[in-house]
Amino acid sequence: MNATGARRDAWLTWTTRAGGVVAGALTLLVFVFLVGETLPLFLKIPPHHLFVDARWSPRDGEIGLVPMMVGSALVTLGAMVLSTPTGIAVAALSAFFAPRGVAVVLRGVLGILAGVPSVVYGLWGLTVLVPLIHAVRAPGVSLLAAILVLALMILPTMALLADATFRAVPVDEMRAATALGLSRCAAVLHVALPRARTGLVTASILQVGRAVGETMAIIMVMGNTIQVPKGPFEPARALTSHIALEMAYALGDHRRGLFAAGLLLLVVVVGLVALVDRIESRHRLIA
Amino acid sequence: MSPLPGLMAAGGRARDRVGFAIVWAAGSVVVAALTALVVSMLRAGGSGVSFAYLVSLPERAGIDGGIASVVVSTLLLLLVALAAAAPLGLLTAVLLFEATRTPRTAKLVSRSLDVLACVPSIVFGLFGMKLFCEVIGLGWSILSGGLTLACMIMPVVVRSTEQALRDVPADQRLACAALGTSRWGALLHVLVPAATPGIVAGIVLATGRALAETAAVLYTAGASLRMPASLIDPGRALAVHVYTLAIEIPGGAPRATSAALVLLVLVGLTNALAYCGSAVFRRWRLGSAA
Amino acid sequence: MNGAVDVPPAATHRAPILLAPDPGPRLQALERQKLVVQDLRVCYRGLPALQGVSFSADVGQITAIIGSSGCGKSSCLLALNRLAELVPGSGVAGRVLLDGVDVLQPSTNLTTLRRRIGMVFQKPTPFPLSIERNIAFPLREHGVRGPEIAARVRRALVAVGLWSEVKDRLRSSALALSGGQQQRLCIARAIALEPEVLLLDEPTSSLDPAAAQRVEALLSELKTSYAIVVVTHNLHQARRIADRTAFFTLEDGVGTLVELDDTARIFAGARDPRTRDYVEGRFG
Repeated sequence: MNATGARRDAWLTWTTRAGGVVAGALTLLVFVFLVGETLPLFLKIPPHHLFVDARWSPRDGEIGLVPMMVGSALVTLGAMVLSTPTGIAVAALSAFFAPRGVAVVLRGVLGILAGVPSVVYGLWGLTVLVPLIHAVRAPGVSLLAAILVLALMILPTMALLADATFRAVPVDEMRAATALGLSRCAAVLHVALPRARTGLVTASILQVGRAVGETMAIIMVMGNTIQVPKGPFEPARALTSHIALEMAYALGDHRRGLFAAGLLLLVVVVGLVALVDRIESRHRLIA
Repeated sequence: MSPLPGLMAAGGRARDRVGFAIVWAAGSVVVAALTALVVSMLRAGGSGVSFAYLVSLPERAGIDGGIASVVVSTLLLLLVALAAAAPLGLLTAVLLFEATRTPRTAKLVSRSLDVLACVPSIVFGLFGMKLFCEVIGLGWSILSGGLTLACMIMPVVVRSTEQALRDVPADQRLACAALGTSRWGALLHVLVPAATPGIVAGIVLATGRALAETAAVLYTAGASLRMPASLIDPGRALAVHVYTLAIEIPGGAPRATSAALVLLVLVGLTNALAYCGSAVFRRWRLGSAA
Repeated sequence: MNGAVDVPPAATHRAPILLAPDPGPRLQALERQKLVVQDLRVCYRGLPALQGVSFSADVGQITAIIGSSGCGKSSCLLALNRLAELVPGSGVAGRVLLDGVDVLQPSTNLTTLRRRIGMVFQKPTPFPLSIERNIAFPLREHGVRGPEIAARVRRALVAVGLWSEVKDRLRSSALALSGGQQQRLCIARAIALEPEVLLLDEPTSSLDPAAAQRVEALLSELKTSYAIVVVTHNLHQARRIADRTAFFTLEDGVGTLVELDDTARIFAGARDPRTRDYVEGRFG
């Protein structure tokens, strides 16, 4: 290697390292700014008040986020219960059951649906789904509407991830299962699913992260009343919607309270990512 | 490729038939959802979309007129986001690709990107508002919004570029090393050219992601309907326009649907471009190599 | 065609020697055999890959299929239990008679067929389950219930000589076994279903010599209960374990059966010069 090459390589090392550090530092920056903005509030009101205060009224020193936490949790839970099994079933169809042409079309449709902006899902929910629910039970904007819209939004990505996991199942194993006279259902159930289990688990955990963090799809259909909903037809408010709705006019402690809600979301998501990381590294250790 | 496409052992046991029914029903749900989405959008908003709609300025908070200023704002936002994310993402991808050289940095950066990829967009909005609008002092502006979007799409750009570099056949890398080329030379003359389709596809994909985003730009780029004169003017992204019309403007839903239709088409085109563009480019390269 | 060999006109050899002279009485004898293959043809995407294959296999003997790579040996095996049709664009024609019934008929119950014709592949394919479940769950799928399952698992593991090695860790992952153990587990899994025919596609080629020897010994023991057809690359192996040997070769790019005879005859005094060339290592 000549001198110019060596100098260029040293330059390359440093620029890539600098670029990487900037990109890597972004996460840290996000944390620093959220914590920095929230800290003055937490010095006045200890953070556990987020969970114990009865009301959300930061200027009066009450920062209870429980209704929003319950809203977020319920909407996420509902959406996951609907979309995870459906997504896995769709993936099983495209990976194992459907003829090749159908599978290609299905993957195309999933790709398109995965790219649809969340605000479009929200608008569709508002203009199509909410009137339908309203016909059953007023007001229409409700926990149920949010669950349905969010489930539909999560489904394509879940299905695509599960499909990729299924297609990584060794062909040899599926062929061996077929050679034993197993039906396709039995082969999927006993061979493909155990093989794909880790991938499916991590994929669905990541989808939980997406569901918890989603704003637009649910803000338009959930009603956004600050209350713990007593049934699926009642309106509720999620943490994300809470921030988006009040940030427009929030000042002082009110604004800091919203940053605290953001911080809470961030902590949850980081926890989920860490969980995925642990599952994957344990899986690698076994394999 | 599907491992074993299209064939069922003709078992005919009850459970097999149930399983079969379940997967096909699930598939039908997906196809029906897309059909319902597209049909309802077309029915409600299709009539409002025309060439004049795209090129005229909005009036009466968007109830009348077109979306010219919104489209311009959106394009400027994307431009800023790409100008920031692409070079930084490329450098980071090279760092991760050559992870053996700086294992500790690479591992940290990689972890950090995994987290960043999962950060909710509304949190990016809070972060961008604090850092770009207030600390740096850009205010609600295209620049703030674009930079916030850049942070958000960074993981997509890095991961797709890294993957594109890894997809370059190992023997090409080895052949390069055997010739005693410098790392710089190998990257510039072999790796990056070979990985270009994948890199471009990743960047276009990230553009689609930024285009679809609402929550991150709502409180960073603002919601002004005026035509932006510079990058430090506020501007309303198309997705924000959909949201605002639907939620805040009484009777705005039909116009929101028209804007959503335009957004849907733009996102669809972007994704199609990412998919087909890389395929065509790959074929073209193969053709020119042969 | 190989230039170094003096090749006789193809036409005289295309007709399989087995059925050549007088089909009448011999066919009757054939029909009492467990597995009879008549004029089997396999094609992929319209291009023939294998044609003119007729042979039979019966309980009590091992039939080895030898030949250079790419001559359709594996395609032939996959056609017998109708796994070939899992390959997109494939087609199979001819007759494959199992106890006199043509399994290539569309009406064949594939689940039952594949239980009756077991198969073991070149690469061991244990499922990512416990050792016990690897054998037990296919049994359950085929309707075996209760204590019969445990009994069959044990019998199968004893038969392949794996019982003493794994009886204390039946519930641990099958993936933790060595390559040779995995392959014997796969054989156990196949014979637990009590098949009538056992097809093996180069079962020892990914094993070390000691493990390969164990599998060979096992096959020789098992042949009393099953009709065994084994594809092998290894001529010595065919010589050691096979009662009868079939030689396949490529003819104009299409795999075909050249001759089938007692193993001793194939290796010392084959009728076809191509077979002689191959077993003497002159090509292939």
